[in-house]
Amino acid sequence: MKPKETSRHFDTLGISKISPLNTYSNEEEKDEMIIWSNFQEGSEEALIYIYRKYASVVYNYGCQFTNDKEYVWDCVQDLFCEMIKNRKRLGKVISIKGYLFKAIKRKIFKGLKKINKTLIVDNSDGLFEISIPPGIASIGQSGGNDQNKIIEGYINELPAHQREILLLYFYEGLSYQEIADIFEVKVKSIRTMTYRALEKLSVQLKANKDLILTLLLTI
Amino acid sequence: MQKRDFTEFLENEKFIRWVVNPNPESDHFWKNWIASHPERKEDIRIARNFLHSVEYKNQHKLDDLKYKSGLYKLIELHDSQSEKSNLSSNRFWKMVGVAATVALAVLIGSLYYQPAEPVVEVVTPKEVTKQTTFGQKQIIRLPDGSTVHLNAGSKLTYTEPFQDNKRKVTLTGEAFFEVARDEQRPFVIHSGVVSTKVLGTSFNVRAYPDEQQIVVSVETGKVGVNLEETEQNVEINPTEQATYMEGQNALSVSTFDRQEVIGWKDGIIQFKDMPLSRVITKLERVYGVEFHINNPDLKLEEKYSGVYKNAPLDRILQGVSFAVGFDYDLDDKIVTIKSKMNE
Repeated sequence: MKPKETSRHFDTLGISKISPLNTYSNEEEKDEMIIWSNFQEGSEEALIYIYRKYASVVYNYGCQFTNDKEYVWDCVQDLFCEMIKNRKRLGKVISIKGYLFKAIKRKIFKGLKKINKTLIVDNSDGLFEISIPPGIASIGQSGGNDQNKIIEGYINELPAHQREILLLYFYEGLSYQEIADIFEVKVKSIRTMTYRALEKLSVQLKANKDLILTLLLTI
Repeated sequence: MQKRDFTEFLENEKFIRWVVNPNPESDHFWKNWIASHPERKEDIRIARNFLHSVEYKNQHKLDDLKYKSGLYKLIELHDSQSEKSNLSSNRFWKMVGVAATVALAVLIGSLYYQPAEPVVEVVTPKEVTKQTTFGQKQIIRLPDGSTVHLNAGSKLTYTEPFQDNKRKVTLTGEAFFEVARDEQRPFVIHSGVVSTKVLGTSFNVRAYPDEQQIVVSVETGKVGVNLEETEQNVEINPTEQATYMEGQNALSVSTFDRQEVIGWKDGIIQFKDMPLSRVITKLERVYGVEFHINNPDLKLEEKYSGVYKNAPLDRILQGVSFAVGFDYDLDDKIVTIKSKMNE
């Protein structure tokens, strides 16, 4: 708070700092496999950890498929209940998030078929729509909003399943393998689909290159 | 077909992992990679910005009540499943911790579990100290089921088990508390001249010794804040915070921006019209680095605004340096601020 004007060197607490960079965001992500096996052995703490970390993330993902939020919430709760009941029979899991996403998607689709609800599948509005909001790391320059809208428009012209892949991949941070499991296809297909989506985007962006570059350089 | 723009990086899994979830190894790898491919530096920057910007257009939030009732239901199911569930008091407190603010639920719970034979166990009380250095955060579970998120450069001490029907902890630095409800044993946090008393709620306490203020900000429930010298007591509600300014000898109550104050817990760093000097001290604390300023023209009072989520330091430095107009070197744990080259 009070910089020493003479030395222009900040050492506010006078502590020599020892901790490594970037332990910051990963700390909690470690050892998910261990947490999973603890959960399987009946640890309540592991269950709470999984719920706290993923319940709302999984809920949000589920809500991308249908407007019936209550139905999605029922599915999420059923999913967790079944996990508890069958915990000993579940296999090893490397990514808890990947597992939950795959399971909730299956559940939502299965149930929808059963109760004969119409699920809007491809190219329809509202499914996995992507937003590129202004203001992330903003530096307060005006005029960025319109440009963001342009990119947003292009991305949302992609088919819904491609948007889903992009969100899982970019936003949720899942791997190709995890996404392939969710879609129940080979990893290679996911790679191809991602490539196609990005390729298409790239072509459109190039047509608008100057505009886009200004945007991307300033966010 | 060769395409050599930023989308090429977006196809690369290793790259995505690095941006979304960096660790020391990937940092090392990509820094080296950029050093040997300087011509791609700009594409990498664009790809990173792009990645950080993409999000769901329709974010569906789980409301608090659903979240809590869902969790409570699962715990019940879990308990009924574990055949040899021994209803020790330990287990009871764990449950209380989980139900936290669902007071009614706890009440019912205590009717069921309280009568179980008391566990007679002689435990010598011991003093526990949990401490984070700069660049670290830690989540601490207290013996009563409360959870404490300890921010960087902070210290929490308490006696285990809690003594005298009080749950007393001492805090230096910053922490977010989710206190398990227990009407019989108030939870008291001592931080300098300010003490905070609650029964069960969640709130943030910021009391870094190098800052001339202590701030208590409430997320849920009611919190009582007490200033020792004057015996002043204020009660604050959700979205309110009580601030003590050094030298003023009084607590003042105001509202606050949740993300700005509590966002650190979820990896969000927000600067809101913050003078560069404070931006720098904040980054030093969060990332455990040291700044050296090698730029006579740098205006430390210049204000900066920006929001970052789970961002590696380099990305924040890029944003700040661009806005304020300086160059920098990031070398291990030293950030050197230099004059802008081409001016």
